[in-house]
This record gives sequence, structure tokens and C-alpha cells, in this order.
Amino acid sequence: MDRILHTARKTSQILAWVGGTLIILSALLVTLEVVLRKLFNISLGGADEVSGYAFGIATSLALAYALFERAHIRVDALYNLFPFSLKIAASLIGLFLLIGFGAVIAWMGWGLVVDTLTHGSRSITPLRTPLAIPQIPWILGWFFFVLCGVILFTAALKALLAGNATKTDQLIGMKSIDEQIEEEMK
Amino acid sequence: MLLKTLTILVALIALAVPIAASLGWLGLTLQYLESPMPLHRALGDMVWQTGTDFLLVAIPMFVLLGEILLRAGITERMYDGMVKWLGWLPGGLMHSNIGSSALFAATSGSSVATAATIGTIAVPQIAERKYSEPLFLGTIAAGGTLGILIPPSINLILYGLLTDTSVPELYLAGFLPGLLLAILFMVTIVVLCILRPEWGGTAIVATWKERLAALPALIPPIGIFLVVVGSIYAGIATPTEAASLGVVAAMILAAFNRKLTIDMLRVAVEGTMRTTAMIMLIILAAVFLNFVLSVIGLTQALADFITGLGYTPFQTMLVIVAVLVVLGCFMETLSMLLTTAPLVTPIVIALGYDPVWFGILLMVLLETALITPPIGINLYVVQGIRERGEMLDVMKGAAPFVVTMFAMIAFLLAFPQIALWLPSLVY
Repeated sequence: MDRILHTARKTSQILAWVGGTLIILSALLVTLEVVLRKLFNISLGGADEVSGYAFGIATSLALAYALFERAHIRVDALYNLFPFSLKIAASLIGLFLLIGFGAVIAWMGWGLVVDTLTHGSRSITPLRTPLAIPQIPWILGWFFFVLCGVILFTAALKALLAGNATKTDQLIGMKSIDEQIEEEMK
Repeated sequence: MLLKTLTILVALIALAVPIAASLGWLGLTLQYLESPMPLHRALGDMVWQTGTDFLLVAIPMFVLLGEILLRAGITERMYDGMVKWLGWLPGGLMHSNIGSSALFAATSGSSVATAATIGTIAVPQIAERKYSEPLFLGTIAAGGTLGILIPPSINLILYGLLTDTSVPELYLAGFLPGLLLAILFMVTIVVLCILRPEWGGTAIVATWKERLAALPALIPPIGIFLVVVGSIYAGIATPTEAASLGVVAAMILAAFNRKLTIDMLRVAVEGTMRTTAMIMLIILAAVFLNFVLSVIGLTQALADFITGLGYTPFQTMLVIVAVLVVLGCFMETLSMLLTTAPLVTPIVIALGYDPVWFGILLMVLLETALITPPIGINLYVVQGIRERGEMLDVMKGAAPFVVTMFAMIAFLLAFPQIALWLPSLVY
């Protein structure tokens, strides 16, 4: 289990780098477009559309990374008052619901992609992008997110059943401010 | 229906279910219970359309811009420069805390990162220059809140998206109030330090030569800020284009400082993607919930209910402000913005208020939420950096700035022109 978890975590980090690279490339593309348009009155056309796709893909690829990093925001007003056992229960329920919602999106998104594939849909822009090209990596990101969620949930539950609740908390509990600061500083 | 909605929402959030899941499942539950049509079928398309919206590309861009400025040490150097220029004021370094936080928070997506960076450089100075510790800590906590209001604020983009309000117009509207609030913070420090000179520490007098020498550290970040905000105001670029220009400018600046390394970019990108994925998942859920709420007529029902109470618009506005202040004591800003804006803004518009003006008012309320106990994230961050003493010190030190923020809210209520004057010149 630890091995699977480790692989999933590492993969999610690599995908986050891929996503970040897409964002940097988009910044360069959009800047080029603005400069050419203003200074030379040339328009590349479609920089907005392409960077939109890059952004959508980058986001879906990074969802799993944010999950492992425990970055998906939770409100801790009451949580901090909970006894440890209740914190663990709340974390498990919270993760379950988060992954459940991700699964609903992935399922509905898959419906969209199937539609695109059967109709060979293209964007209604001058580029006429075949939408399957950006949508396939996008939906794979969502699938990967759900898969990682299931792996993380299983690992957390397994640790709990093995009597190692501290490990469960490390995996899925809420990040304390101290942990967040420590990360900013390293 | 209204009661049911609020009960589900409060229960999910109180149980510390991730905000994205709370909003998403509320939407799914309501559509199951209240709607004759399976609205979730629209979810796939909605997630795709919103997730690739060019306006929202500004979010990772602004976060990345802040990350690069931070990781390339540009923020640190900027703080040192600020000290040379603002150190002579009564309260000395504390003005640099406000000034650098205002400028840096404006470009950074994370108030934790801002307060942490400024705090690490500033906190050791407390003992060295004999400042009042609580007040000094308060300036770091309060300064870090300014980024929400000062363009280019990510929160204003989110408000614009959820309420169909023009983002450039919101940016114009936020400029004067943001500046005014920063000035009011500084006035607060000056007044307190004149009343109690022992709080102000030893003043730092820099020579003009030192000040000029500090300019190279100061001008580039200010330049980036001006390029980003200026190109939006001048109508040259959309917010996303301006953000992209900012990222490229920051990378060039980092390269000049010999800090543009693969390692630096890797760390910056990790932070950016973590924040972006987190924000986007909540936005996607909020957009879906927004859609469900309006289809089942809940938004309208809520607006009717409030207007039907028979209070004057101004009385109702006061109640809304009071509720948001209380909520802010318990919720963190992003969750608060994304849960309240879709519900409250239609009411405000039905009462005859301007959505642009309300957007700005809401931002000041969110800023207040960052430093109101018991849950004010900036208070915890500052305490966390300090690693000693009582949390109460930070709360005490932030209290004067909470009062200043309340004054700002009162100004905005009494003189909506503070926000609406600049946009009225253009639109």
C-alpha cells in the first residue's frame, strides 16, 4: 500500500510540474500576443483560446497534487475543538465527499468527452480546434484525481484499522498553521 | 427550502468537509430534492466551460507572479528598500510592514505566504529597535490583508465571475479604497505612536544617498505592479493579459538577480498549482451551486424574503454587514466569499445598490475577516512565525486595525463615491 501511495504521490507531483509548465508557456504566449498586437498590429489569434485549454488541463492535472498536499480548504472553526477521534472521522468523511464530488464531475465530464468524440466537435472560434485534443488530457486529470483519492482513502483507512491513527491524521488530517509556515520557509 | 439549504451548508462546513465538496454536494442534494430536471447533467459542460475560461487564467498567473517575486528574493529586497524610505515616520518599520505587504500582497495569491515572508524579515527587528511587540505584530497581520482589495486581486475576479460584474470596473473601483485603507493604517500607526511614543521604537534615519541606493530594490516590483494594473486601466490589456505580462516581467527580473533557476521555478510552480487546483475546485462547485440555486428559484426567494421584511435598504445593508462581520470571525476568506457572494449579491441588487460598490464593500469585510479572532488566519500566521509568547499579543496588536477597517466600512456606506467615482469616469 505504501508503495502504491508513494508512486501516486510522486506522479501527482510530476503532473503538477507539467501543469505549471503549461501555465508558464501560456504566460509567454499571451505576452507575445499582446506585444505583437500593440507594437506591430499583428494578431496571432487564438492565444486566449489556447491558454484557456492549457489552464483547464493544468488545473485538472494538479488536483491530485493539491489533494496529497492537503491543500483543499476546510473550515477549522469547530474542527479544532473536536477530540482526536472525531477529527479523524471528520477527515475521512470529508475526503470521501471530496472524492465523491470529483467522481461525479469526472463521470459527467466523461459524458461530455464521449459527445465530443462521437460528433467530432470543434470549437466555434477561428481556430476550429478539434475539442477532443484538449478534452482528453483534461478528463484524464479528473480520473487521476479520483484514483488518487481512492488510494489515499484506502491507505488512511488501512492505517486506522491497523491502529495507527497518527498516520491517518498525517495523511488526511487538516494542516496546522505551523505546518503551512514550515513549508513556506523551507 | 431556505432553511433546508442553510442547514445542509452549515452542517457540512462545520464538520470541516472541504469547502469544494460542501458546495458541490449542497448543489447536488438541492437539485435532487427540488428540481424536476437532472441539473447535474449540465455539470460536465459547466466544468469544462468555466475551467477553460480565459478570464480565470488570470488566477494561476497572479499566483505565479507572487511566487516568483517571493522565491527570487525580490520581496525581501523590497522590504529593505521600504525601510529606508518610510523608517523616519513615527512608528518606523511598521510603515514598511504595511507598505511592503500592500504591494506584495497585491500580486500574491496567498496571505499566508505574504505574512510569512514579511514576518520572517521583520520580527527580529522588534527587540533590536524596541518596538511595542503587539502593535508591530498587528501591522504585519493587518498589512497582509490589503491584497484582497488592491488590484490585481484574485478575489475581485471571483466576485466578478459569480455575480456577472465587470472585472476591470471592479479593479477601478477597488483602487481608491485600497489606497485609502493603506493610508488609514499608516495614520493609525502614527496616531498611536504619537500618543504612546514608547511604542514606536527607535526611528531609522536613512540618508538620501542610502535611499537612492535602495531604489533598484524598490523600483522593479513597483514597476511590475504598475505594468500589470496600468495596462488594465489603460485598456491595453485584459486582466489575464496583464497578469501574463507580469509573470514574464517577474521572470526577467529574477533572471537579472541571477535567481531564475530550475529549482526556483519548480518550487514556484508547485505552490502555484497547489493554490490554483484548490481555488478552481471550489469555483467549479460554486458555479454549479449558483446555477442550481437560481434554477430552483432560491436566489429569488431569498431576495423576496429579505425585501419583504419591510426594512429600508440601508437598514437591510447594515444587517448584511453585521452578519458578514460575524461570519468573518469564523470563516476563512475564500470560503466566505464563494459561499456568500452568490446568495447576498442578488439581494443587494434588488435593494437598489450597485454590485460594483458592494463588491468593494465585501472585499473590506473579507479583509476584516483575516484579522478578527477567533479565526483570523493572519493572526495565526504571525503568531506562528514568532514562535513564542501569547496569541493574545497579536490579537491586541491587530485590534486597532480592525477599528480602522470598521471606519473604512462606514466610509464606504456613507460615501459610495469612494468606490464608484473612478469607474464613473471610464464607464
